[in-house]
Parts: sequence; structure tokens; C-alpha cells
Amino acid sequence: MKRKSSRAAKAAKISKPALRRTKTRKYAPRAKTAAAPKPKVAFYWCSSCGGCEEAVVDLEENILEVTAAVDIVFWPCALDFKTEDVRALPDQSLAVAFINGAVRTSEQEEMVKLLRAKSQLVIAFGACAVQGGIPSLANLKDKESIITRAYREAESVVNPKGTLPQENTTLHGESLTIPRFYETVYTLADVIPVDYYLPGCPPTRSLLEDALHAILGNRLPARGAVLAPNHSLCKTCERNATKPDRLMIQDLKRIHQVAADPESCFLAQGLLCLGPATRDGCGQACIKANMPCTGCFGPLSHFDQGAKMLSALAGIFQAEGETAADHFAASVVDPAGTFYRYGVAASLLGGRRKERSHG
Amino acid sequence: MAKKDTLLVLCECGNNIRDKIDLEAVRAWALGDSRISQVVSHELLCSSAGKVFFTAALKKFKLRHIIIAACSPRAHENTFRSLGVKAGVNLADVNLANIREQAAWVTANKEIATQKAITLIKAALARTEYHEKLELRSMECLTDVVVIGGGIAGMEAALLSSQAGRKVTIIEKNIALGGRVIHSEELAPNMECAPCLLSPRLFKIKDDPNIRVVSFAEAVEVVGFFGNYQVTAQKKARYVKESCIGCEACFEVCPVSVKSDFHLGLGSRKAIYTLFPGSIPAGAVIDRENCLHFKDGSCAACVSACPFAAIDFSEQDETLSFSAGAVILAIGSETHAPIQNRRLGLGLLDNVYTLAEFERLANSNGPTQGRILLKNGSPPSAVAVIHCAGSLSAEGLPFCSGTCCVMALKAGEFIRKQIPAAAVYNIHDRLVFPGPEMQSFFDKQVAHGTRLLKTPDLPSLTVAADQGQLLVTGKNLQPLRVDMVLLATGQQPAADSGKLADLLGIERSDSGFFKSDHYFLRTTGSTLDGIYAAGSCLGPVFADQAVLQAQSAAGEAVSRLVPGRQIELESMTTEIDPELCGGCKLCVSVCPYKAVSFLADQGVCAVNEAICRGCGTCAANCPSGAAQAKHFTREQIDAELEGILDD
Repeated sequence: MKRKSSRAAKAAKISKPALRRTKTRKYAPRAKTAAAPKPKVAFYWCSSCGGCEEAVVDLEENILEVTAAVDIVFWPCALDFKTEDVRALPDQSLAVAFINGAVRTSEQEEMVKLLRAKSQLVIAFGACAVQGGIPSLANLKDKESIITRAYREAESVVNPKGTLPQENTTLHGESLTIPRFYETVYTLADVIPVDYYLPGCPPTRSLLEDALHAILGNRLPARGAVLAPNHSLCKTCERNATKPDRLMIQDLKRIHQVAADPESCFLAQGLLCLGPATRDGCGQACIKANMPCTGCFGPLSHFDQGAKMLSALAGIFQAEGETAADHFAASVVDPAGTFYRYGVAASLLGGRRKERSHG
Repeated sequence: MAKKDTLLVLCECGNNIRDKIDLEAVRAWALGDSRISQVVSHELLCSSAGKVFFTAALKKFKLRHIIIAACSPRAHENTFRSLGVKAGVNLADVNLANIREQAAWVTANKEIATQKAITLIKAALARTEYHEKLELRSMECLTDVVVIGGGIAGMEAALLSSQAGRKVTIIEKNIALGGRVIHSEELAPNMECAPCLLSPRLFKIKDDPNIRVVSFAEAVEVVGFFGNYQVTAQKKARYVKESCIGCEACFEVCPVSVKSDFHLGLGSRKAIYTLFPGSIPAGAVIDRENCLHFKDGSCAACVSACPFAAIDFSEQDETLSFSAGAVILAIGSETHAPIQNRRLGLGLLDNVYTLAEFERLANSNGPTQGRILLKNGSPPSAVAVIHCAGSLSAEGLPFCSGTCCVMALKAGEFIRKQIPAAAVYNIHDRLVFPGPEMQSFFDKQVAHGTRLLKTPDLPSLTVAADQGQLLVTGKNLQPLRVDMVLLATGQQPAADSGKLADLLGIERSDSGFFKSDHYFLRTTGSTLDGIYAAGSCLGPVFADQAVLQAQSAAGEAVSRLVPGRQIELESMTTEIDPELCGGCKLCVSVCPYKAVSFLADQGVCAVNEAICRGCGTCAANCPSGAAQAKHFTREQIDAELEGILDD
């Protein structure tokens, strides 16, 4: 806990122009005219690619149904509200905040803590918020090497003076502050208590709809639940029937090296598919596009996805001698990025056992 | 606040632990621990006195958890668990902290060893919080025996087991019993009539109510362990009902003639055939591949010829399953036929045969009714036997089969019996005639006229056709002109031995024969308890040794499978949570006991608790976390780790 409290103390304050547009807001909440006020909902993004926002937009015309049922009071990606708007809300006044992205900067920490205070429910939305996602692959490096690589070494960078971003800069007598870039990428639950988890990169439209209906209909499971089925992808995978009862593999191939059969089990074809170690609920989008599962829905329960898959793979690997074993190991070019693509922050990788901020 | 409900028993293990670990420091630490109520110690807990002391401590303190800081669980976990159970303590509540192998024996530094011992005890303590009671399970052992292979060894194993009152099933791949011995006319060294040797035993088996012969069948699955095996066999359709007595009336009318496997391709049989006259079972079989009825429906001659209305084209393959306490493998071996070795002319030149083929020619039930003839129908006047053909070479068999020399000399006996004037040459480098009986057999053959031509250059020999005869040439050998060349080829593992070994999970030696559990002491035990092997599937042997091995295997099996005897079942089996299980089947792939199966209708995998040995492989392998080994659950292992890491 020491690390976290010191980090919280150092969380940078963000100076913002005092713009308040609440009064001139174009879409005034319709709740004021209704008999009962509609529940207020916030969407927020941290370290993410924007795909989770896309997933919300993917609701298409159903978004109208959502807006009919709730008031979206904060959604930086789509609507022009400001932090001050959120600050102005009474605590616990939001029914739910959907937060996507991992937490890596002081601004993100500040915002998620603010949203936590204002919300009755916080939902970790998408692989990055749930497990750290792709951004948490950065945990395999330290902050310094990431900054150096990005601002000095990257092939596309022209930076003859080797200038690096500074938290505080004074220019022409004006002081500028940018958020602090943390040493580590955190899952949302590392920073604030999370009520529910919606996994996926991104979560599917149907999972989001189900979650919204569950919230609105007050049909939510016990707090802490992952709002997706707790069984592996194989259970609903049509290809599972083609998998032999006794599967042993001698060799792993990468997807570009073969023309994958569109109907048979990828593992049986010698293609690494993380389906057996991955939670179901994605609707098999990748599998149907003839691509093996890369594991974005994360593990079942709270197991370590990468360790589980590695262990399983070791069990079904069959070849004689060390050379064959070396060859097999070498056929996974990027083990961490393969087995922990979406979850380094939540994993046991690196031998670090991180304390959660809740429970 | 943790409950003070643990008894810590320290074992000094003579000086093994006492000298390396400060047990007083361990005791002092333990007395301050919030969960340990009592600490006792003994100088050698596994001794008779130690066991009495242990039981007395259990009864005196009556505590819930017993932690014994002593040796590896491999050594004495069972010892103390069974004492605990006798004293009324649950199996799950007696646990060892291994402070000998993991602490006392790995460092000379007493302080570090003591600290590590305490850490290991902490780990054992930490997991107790998550312990759940384990159930002691046992079953009465199954006393029946399944024999795979119906040659002389398999038959002997079946007869002996039956004599002990056991029900026996013989699963034979061929259409009838007999194996390889029935291929021979006479057996060396005493030239015993082979069919006369087998025939009474075949009829004994036929009349034995304890023995069931399932021929034309192969084992396709074997699951279980000593005392509790389930064997599944796939039995091919014969298309001839059991009412067939093998009268051969159908042979005359069947228009299809094909090469006979029984005659090693040297003779022919019809599409409806028996193995040999008087075989057990006696009934014929229709060879579906060649029968015209199955080809185009154009023939049903056998149907009208059969006096017993036994032909049934609608018969289907059957899957049969058998329960047994032990499985005896007696699948034999195969003749190594170095046909790739073109220089010796096998398969290329007329009148070049392996000794196995020659035995068919010399056999009265063979394709020539036992007359030794050349392809042109005349008897040979000179025959050469080339020893070690394909053996003792890297590209052939790397070993000496130890049986071919005797068969090679036996050929001379057969030839002289029919053609007294024929010259018989044996071209050899080494000769193997172990024991006085074999040696006198050899001496007799030489005295009767077999000529020995020794050359150290056997690999240089070539056989070529020359003016209607065969010319054998080679380094250090006078060119030899003969009418017939016989190759003394070795014995190789049966083609099915690899498949069967995989099916059973037993090991094979480098040469491919089934591996004995112990070369001297458990020759006929395979590497898996309850699976025995006899005869030449263990390596080339003569019939007498095959019979001895069969007696050994059956003897051990029935002496252990005593009716009413209980066998312990594993308490720490694995459970698969059907809610979590995605049915990915990877547990099925790794289970060494075939205890896990995929339930297609439910889409999940399940463990057969009667077969599970609690090895935990599936739990470690389960990618979804649905499989959990009892007493080694995730919570328990996590707690144990926390106990170690917590300072």
C-alpha cells in the first residue's frame, strides 16, 4: 500500500481553463420533464486506443434507447462536458460510470477517483481497464526506456537536442503542467474499487447491452462479478468438435505461415489459440474470421491466463529431445506478448504481486 | 484470531535432522505460533517405537491438524496418514513438512536450515485453513484376467489363470488362436510336433467355461490400474455365424482365391476361409475386401453351399468391453524380413526364402502339404542357409535374436528327412546355441551332414540367379552354387506393439519390445502395475521360454488378484467444475490413466473417480482452471506459498 499512497500524494493537479458550458448545453437532460429523474451515466477513457468508445457507438440506433433511459452526463470522447461538470455533481449522484483504459498517468488516477466518488457503480470497461490491456505490456519495460525510445530513438523522431517531456515547464513566464507519467501501468481495480467488469478488446455490443439492461432492471449479480460467461471459449466454439480427444502437438506455426483451415480447431492445426484459457462472451468474432483467439476476454475467475495457457501447452507438447523443445519454444516469437497480450498488469508476470486497492 | 488446533510433531530422524537443524529453536518458535497448540518430538518417528509414540500423541491431544516435520512425503506420508486414520484423524489433516530433504540435507549451515525448516512448517500451517476432509475409498479388486494375443504364451496364461478359477478373455487379432508356433511343423531341439503340442491346448481352451476367446478383435482402449481395468475391444464382423463348424463346404464353391497370410503369401485361400483345419474358433470368416458379394453383390455361392445356414452378410463390427484385474500381453513378435536388402535376393529371386517361409513349406498344413520343393516343382539338391540375415547391422536389426541359429540348423533336419542326399550349407560368422540341449542339437545336425562355412564377411554376401540355380558369393567364401537359399532373419517387435504400448501407457525398450519392469526380478511385469507381458513381445524367445513367461505373468497376476482383497482408491482425485469447464479436452489429452473423458452431450470434461490416481496433471494443465486436485486446490497452494513468502 505504500507505493499507492505515495503515488496518490504525487498525483499532479491539472490546471484547466474555467470554462463552464453546462448552462448553454445543447442537449439538456430530459429528466427534468419526466416524472422520475433518469439515471445518470458517465463514460470515461484512460490509457486506451479508443476502441471501447467505438464499442459504445456500435450500439447504433440502440443508443437512442439508451439515451431515452439514461442521461449521459460525461463522455469526453463524444460530448463536450468538462471535469468541472463532474466535480459539480453531488457524490454518488451517477448511477454508473463506465471507465475504459488502463491507468498510467496522474490525470487518469485523478479522474477515476473523482468518478468513483460520484458514482454508485463503477464498471471496468474493456480489456485495458479490466486487466491492463495492451498498454500494460509496457510494464515489461521501465518508464525511462519507454520515454527515451519514444522521444529520442524512434525512427520517426527528429529531436536533435534530445528534449524529453517535463512535468513542469516555464515558458515566457507562464507555467505549464502536464500529468505525471507513472512507472507502471495499473488496472482500474488497482486504483479504485471496481464493482463490475466488462472484458474484451473491446467488449461486444451485446455484452454492453446486457450490462445496461441488468443495471436498469436492477438484475446485477453480486459485486465484483465479471459480466461475461465464466467458461472458456471452447465451450461455444464450433471448431471444438473437430478437436481430437487426445491432442498432442509437435510444432507450433504462426498464422501467416499456413492457410488455416476454416473449420477445424486451431490448436489441432498447430496454431496457438488462447481460447482454452480465455473467457467466453466475445461471440467468436476472431474465430469466425479464421483467426485464433488472442485472449482479450482474459482468464476465467481470477486465474493467471498466461500461466494457465503455457501450462496447458507444455502438457500437450510432444517431441523428443531438447532440440525439439527449443524449437518449440522458439516458435513463440514473443511469449509475453502472446500469452499476456491483454493482461500483464493483472498477471503474476515478473513475480510481482500487486495489492489491490480494494478487498 | 487463528484457532490453536495444531499438533506439531518433530522427528529427529536419527542424526539426519537433529544434527542439521536446531530443533529447540523450532520448538521455541512453534510454541509462540498462534495456531500450534502442542509440540512433541521423537528421535525416529517411523520406527516401531516412533509409531506408538505418534499414535499416543494423537490420542492424548486430540487436535484437528497434525503437522509432522520430518522427511519427504514420498517416504512416510502414507505411514503417518494410515496411523492417523486408525486413530480417528481424517486423511487430509495429517501432513508432512519435509524438513529433511528440503532443509537438513541441502545446507551445512544450521542457522539457515533451521530458518528454512520453520518456513516449511509455516507453509504447511498456512494451508490447513483451507483443508477439506478427504474420503478413504477402496474397492474389491477384480479377479478376472484379459489376455491380449492367443499364441502359445497367451494360451498358457489363459489356461493357468483359469486353473486358478479366474475368468479369462483372450483377445486375438487373427481369426483364430495359434500364433506363430502353429506355423512350424516341429520345434527344436527335440523336434516336437508343433500342432500336436498346440492342438490339445486349443481344445482345452475351447471346452474351458472360464475362458472366452474373442478372435478377429483388437483392444482399442484400456483404462484403469492394477485390480481395476476396463478393456474395450473392437471385434470385426466374420459374416459367418457361430454355428459354423469349419466343414469347408463353402471353400469349394467360393470363386475367389487370394494369397494366404497364414502361408506368408506362399499359398492361397478363398474369400471365405479358416486359419487352418481344426482351429479354435473353428468357424470361417468372409474376407470382406475380396468377397464378390461385398464387391458387387454378384455371388452368394457360400450361402447355398453351407449346410448350417451360417452365412450372415448383415453381421456388424462389435465393440465389446471387459473388466479385469490384470491384462497380460502376449502379442508375439514378427519375422524381420530385410527385403530392402536386395543383395540377398529376397522377394526378387525364386527359391530365396526366410526361415519362417521355409517352415511353411516344410509344414504338413502348409501350401505344399509339407513337401520341400523348388518353384519348378523339383526337390532341391543343395540348400544354403545364410545366418544373421539383416541382423547385427545398423540398417537392419542391431541385435542378435538368439533364436535364428537353431531354426537355421533345424532347416537341415527337415531337408534331409525328405531329400537325404541334399547338401545343406550354413554360412555363418557367429553361432548361438545356449545350453546343453541346444548344443547337442547343433552337434547332431553337423554329424548328420550340415556343413558350416564360416566367414567374417557376412555383409558382403550376395545371391544371384545363375543358370537356373543360385550363386552365393562373398569375401572369404568360395562361390557356392545351390538350388535354394534360406535367410536366417531375426525377430522384430510386432507391428502393433507401439500402438498397444501407447494405448496402455507402458514403455518399450530401445529395440521396440515391451520393457520389463525389472530385468531380473520382474521380467514379465510391464512398466505399469497390473499389465504383464509374456513371450516374444518382450524380446525373441523360444516356445519353452514363452510358456515359462506366460506362467510367470499369470502366476503373479492371480496370486495378487485374490477374491475379496481390497485395493485402495485414490482419495485425492481431481474434480472438474462443470460450470467453469469449457470442454477444451486438454485434460483428456494429458491424463496418463485415461481417467478423464469428454462428455459430448454436456460439452464438458469429467473425471472417472474410480480410475483417477490423483496425479494432478490435468489440474495443472487445465487452461480454464476448472480442474482442481483435491488437497491441492488453488487456495491451498496459494496459502502454502503465502506461508513461505510471509515474513
